[in-house]
Amino acid sequence: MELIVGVDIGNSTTEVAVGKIKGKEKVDFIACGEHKTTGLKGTDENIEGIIKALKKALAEIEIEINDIDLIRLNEATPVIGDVAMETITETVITESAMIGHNPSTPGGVGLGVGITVMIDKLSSCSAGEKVIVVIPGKIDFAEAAEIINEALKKGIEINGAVVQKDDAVLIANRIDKKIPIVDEVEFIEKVPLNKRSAVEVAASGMTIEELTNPYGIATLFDLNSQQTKHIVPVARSLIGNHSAVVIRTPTGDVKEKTIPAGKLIVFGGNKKEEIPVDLGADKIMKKIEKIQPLTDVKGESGTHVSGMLEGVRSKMKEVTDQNLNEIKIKDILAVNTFVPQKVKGSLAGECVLENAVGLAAMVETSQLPMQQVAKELRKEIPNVEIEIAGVEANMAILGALTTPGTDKPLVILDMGGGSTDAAVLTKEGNISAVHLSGAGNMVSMIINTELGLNDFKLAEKIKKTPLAKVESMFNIRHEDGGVHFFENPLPPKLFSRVVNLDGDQLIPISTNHSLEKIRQVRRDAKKDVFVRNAMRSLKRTIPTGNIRDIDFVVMVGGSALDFEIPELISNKLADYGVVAGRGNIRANMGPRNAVATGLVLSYIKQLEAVK
Amino acid sequence: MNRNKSLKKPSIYIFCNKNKKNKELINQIGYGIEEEGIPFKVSLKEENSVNKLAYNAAQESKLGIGIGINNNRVLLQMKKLKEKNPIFDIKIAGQLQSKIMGINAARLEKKIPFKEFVVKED
Repeated sequence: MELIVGVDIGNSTTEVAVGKIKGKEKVDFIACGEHKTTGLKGTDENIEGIIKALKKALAEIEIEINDIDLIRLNEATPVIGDVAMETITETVITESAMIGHNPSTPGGVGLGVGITVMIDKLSSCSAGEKVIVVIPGKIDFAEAAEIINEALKKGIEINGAVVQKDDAVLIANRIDKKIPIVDEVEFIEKVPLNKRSAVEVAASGMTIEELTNPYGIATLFDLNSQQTKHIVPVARSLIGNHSAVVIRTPTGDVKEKTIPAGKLIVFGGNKKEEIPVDLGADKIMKKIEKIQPLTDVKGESGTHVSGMLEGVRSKMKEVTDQNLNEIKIKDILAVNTFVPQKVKGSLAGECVLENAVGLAAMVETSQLPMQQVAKELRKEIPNVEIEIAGVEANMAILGALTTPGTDKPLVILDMGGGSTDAAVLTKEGNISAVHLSGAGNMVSMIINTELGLNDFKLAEKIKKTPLAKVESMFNIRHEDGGVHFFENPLPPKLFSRVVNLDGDQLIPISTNHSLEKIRQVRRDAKKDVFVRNAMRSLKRTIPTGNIRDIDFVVMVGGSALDFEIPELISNKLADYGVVAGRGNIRANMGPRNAVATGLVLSYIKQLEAVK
Repeated sequence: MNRNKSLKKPSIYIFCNKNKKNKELINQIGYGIEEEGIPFKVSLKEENSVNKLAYNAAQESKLGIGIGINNNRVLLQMKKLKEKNPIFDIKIAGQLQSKIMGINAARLEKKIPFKEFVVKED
């Protein structure tokens, strides 16, 4: 009887499979374990994670580490990925100031035009003057209403108001004329005074119409054709708001500054192509596919792209201890996304969604120092034999084949956190593999930026688990429509929030996004990264390049555990008549443990070969 | 038919101890509710226990939302909750907090997330 252990050190998880050899060709898997990979894959720090995963596995079967006959480590693929994001549009407002936001309770309704006047200067206005009154926080709403009513009596035409505090309805209820009032304007001191301005509040359930129309603004401010062109970003950024203020200021109040997004310089074979990033993800990917295989990617110097790729490179340098110029980017995945950015020239801290391109880059290093890891591990457990076995892709295929219902020709998609790896096993038994950039981390990055969370951990949670909306103090409605009732009232901080279901815990997502919007962003991010990478990897690994020539696709790795990624990929591949699904290693492990299992199985194959 | 009862307008009820009323505080709560556009009614009661005040207010309110006030202690309560477990139980420190209590009472009806009770005063 022999005890053989397979150890797979992945980017994020270290997995262990323990096999008991029976006779010469049979193996019983008696235990398995996993632990978070400690340190970066391929470094001495991995030892801690290996030992912990081992102990977890052995505790199940009450065996000591010293009883193991052989530990087989995977020859890890020397691939490391990283992600970055770059905005390619920018909204700068030059000839006007604007407020476009959705205070929960604006006052009045309609459109008003006039000159901005501070409320304490109203008395110096004369009858017939058209005025938009500006009310700072230090003025109480009752006082404000009184002053406005007095001014109205004097014949001053007050056509709208801009208020700092949350007082719009209170003021509207106390004045004698119905005017649109926008409140919760944070930076009221920045509102330019004595300037022509327009205030619009939409009726409930509607959005503003006049100030989102460039010609509407042109009419209100007597703009010529040239000036109308300049006002377009204002109109565009106000779309979808319930209330807005536009103030016309002289040219030059806000200076325009744009940073060129730059070009990707892609090298492949003897070709070199420069791809402007602002073409967007689809065109970038099309061009990159044409230059396959890539030898390196650089960014145009002095631009954001260059800064972004250099960032990736220097991080890799630290990890691998190689020279900067030896680190070559072997794959790029570009994804279109949006980034909420503060509008320059706005007065209530409002944001507009700018177009952006997210890039995942993958670096192939010259061999990870697995020998070093093996040596360190030997020091730790001197009584156990340790060897480095097999290429990771081959091991993963061996493991994946234990999924019931699979056969050759087969493709495995190993979807992890940093990279998506694929390997194909042809009818003839040949194996080839590719490594692509972009996986779970990129999905988290997209969710984080598109929703403006500034919280990567929350983004990870949103990625991993379904959403629900707290509907009352006692129940939540899941994103699939199901309702869950609680016996005890829920904490007030959850009331009416969109929440993330983390086991029994409800984690509030403190944004104004609706559940539908968050769900859409999450699913689109997964499609953009994983479905696209699935297609890319299949096209590259299948010898004929035709997806119809493959019968089985088995998804393994951490991201295959996701509650919707395998389903999104299966749906796409169903169009090609491919059986695609989440792997079930040894009929009971799910998509986990493929490589570790393969490492044990390959040992038996070796024995057979010797025989 | 009880005419009075059928005429009872759906509104948030505010019950305040008669001897310990704080006019400014009640006003601010009212402004908060008004800003959110929900009707409310203030009544002065003999009851001393602020828990009972809030609980009774919620039971009598057609919206099932009640506020109890005793000195500067303010409770937000709803019909389905137990007397000893109000939604908020806050010692009010300043005008803004009272207004936010009003806003949150209204938001309970409007089913939108509560505002935080900031301590900052203007």
